[in-house]
Amino acid sequence: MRRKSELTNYLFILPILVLFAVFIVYPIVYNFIISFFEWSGFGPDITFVGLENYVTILNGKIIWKVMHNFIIFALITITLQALFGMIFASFFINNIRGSSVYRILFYLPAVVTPAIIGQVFSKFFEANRGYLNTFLRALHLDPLAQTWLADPSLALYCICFVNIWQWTGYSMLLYYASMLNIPSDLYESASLDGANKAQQFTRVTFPLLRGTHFTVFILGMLGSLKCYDIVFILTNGGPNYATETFSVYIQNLSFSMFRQGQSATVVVIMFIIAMVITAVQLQLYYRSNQHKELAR
Amino acid sequence: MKNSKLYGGLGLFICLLSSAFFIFPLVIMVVRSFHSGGIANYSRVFDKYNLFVNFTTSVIVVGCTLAITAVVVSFAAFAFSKLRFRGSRALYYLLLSGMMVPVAATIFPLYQIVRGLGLINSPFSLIFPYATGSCCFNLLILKNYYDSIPNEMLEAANIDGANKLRTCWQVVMPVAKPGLAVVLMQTFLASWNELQMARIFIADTDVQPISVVPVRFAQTISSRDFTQEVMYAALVICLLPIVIFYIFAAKSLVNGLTTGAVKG
Repeated sequence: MRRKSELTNYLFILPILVLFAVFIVYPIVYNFIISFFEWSGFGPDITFVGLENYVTILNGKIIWKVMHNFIIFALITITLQALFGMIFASFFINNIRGSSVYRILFYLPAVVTPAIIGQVFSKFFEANRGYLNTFLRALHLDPLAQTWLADPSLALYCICFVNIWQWTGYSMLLYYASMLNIPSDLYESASLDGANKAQQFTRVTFPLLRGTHFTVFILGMLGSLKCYDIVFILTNGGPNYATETFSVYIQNLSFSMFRQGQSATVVVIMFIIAMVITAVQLQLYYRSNQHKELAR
Repeated sequence: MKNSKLYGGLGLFICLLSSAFFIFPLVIMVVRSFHSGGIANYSRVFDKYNLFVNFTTSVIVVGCTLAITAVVVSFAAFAFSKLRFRGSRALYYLLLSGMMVPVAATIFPLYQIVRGLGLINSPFSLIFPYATGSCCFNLLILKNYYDSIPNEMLEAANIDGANKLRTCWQVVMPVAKPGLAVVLMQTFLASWNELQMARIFIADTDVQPISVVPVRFAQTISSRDFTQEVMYAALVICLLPIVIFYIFAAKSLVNGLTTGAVKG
């Protein structure tokens, strides 16, 4: 009797398991296998090449450029999004006038279609008649006018800028949510002890947001790994791979150069990085939960 | 607690400045769309493109994705929250790990499946991959929501002789509506805006979804009848559904995400 009822319980998760197996597990396994072959993706002409794809990819310069971009992009966007998110959240938690309107406005960039906003930003950064350069020239700051997206040393920072524009609202919400959980008597006693707003923030709020710092960090790392839409619209990885990300690299190997084996190899490398990040996250999450238990 | 004048003033100043920062690209887009030609820019968009087909594709894709996600994730969240079975914890975390998987890691094999089924250029190529992503992404939110529903309610339903399916459908689901609403709003946004898969699976520009259409504008721009202003008008038209959605749903979405995040 009990057996049978437990079996019917599985029926409730059967649909999600089927979707997961077909559309996530199968493609990953498929890519893992393909990474040991040479194949254009069309026709039966497929050759086993062992580890040759890994050797080719790791000896090429692009993968290292991609990793370099990933680290720079992750560091810049995560730090600034967290910082701005925290600042906004602490204004809202203190209920400054218009908080609920600002919360909605600041989250707006996260819901607009990336391809649409990408077009606007490409006109914004455009070298000759772009809005940014026009604006700088109007302020007589001509030397600051750059070729932005066409300049290999600046393009990645432009992408970072757009990403921060897009996702600061999201980290603001995460911080705001966990600040709501901090009991207000902590602030009352801090202010009785003579702590001002800034001190309350550094001594009370910041340490208690540990869990959220981790969440924002992990989501930011994974976001940087996935980063595709804005890069595709603005630079498609160029100039000279200055903005190449894992997703753009894989997409171009698969659908422009038709080198499925190499593309799958990059997928595997990206996947290993994602797994390391996730493992670190679980470790930290576990530890931060222990920390919370102790605090209670 | 009252804020000091200085703090309130500083906060207001920073928030106003930041508001300008966050909406400036949208303002540029709308203002420029009326330059040299005014409303005529908008009618020129329709002379050049039949966006109706693109909207239809988006609506089919998003509608089906929402329906599948709603059913699948509701059942799964109910099971992981309220039912006992062996391996449930391990399976739960396995499914959650699905949201860590980038599109790039699955796109070529999925393309092979789609091509094998003859679904290239069909809206149905995108529905199941999108629904899978949404289910994994939203399982956490909905399960947390179900956890907050007291078990006594289920026991009462059990005594009344309702089986598990009816308990899930008629007792728990109605209570969990606000949680499901947040899940569906997120799913709507994610599937309406998705670019990476949509661009590959539906390569035919006449039927591609709205999330991909703007890519084409960049290529046609600066032809005589498609000036930059007309392009901005076209972008505004493409963004309209999202704007309308956000006007009505912003408050519940933002509040829902906030409470969801707390429980997560």
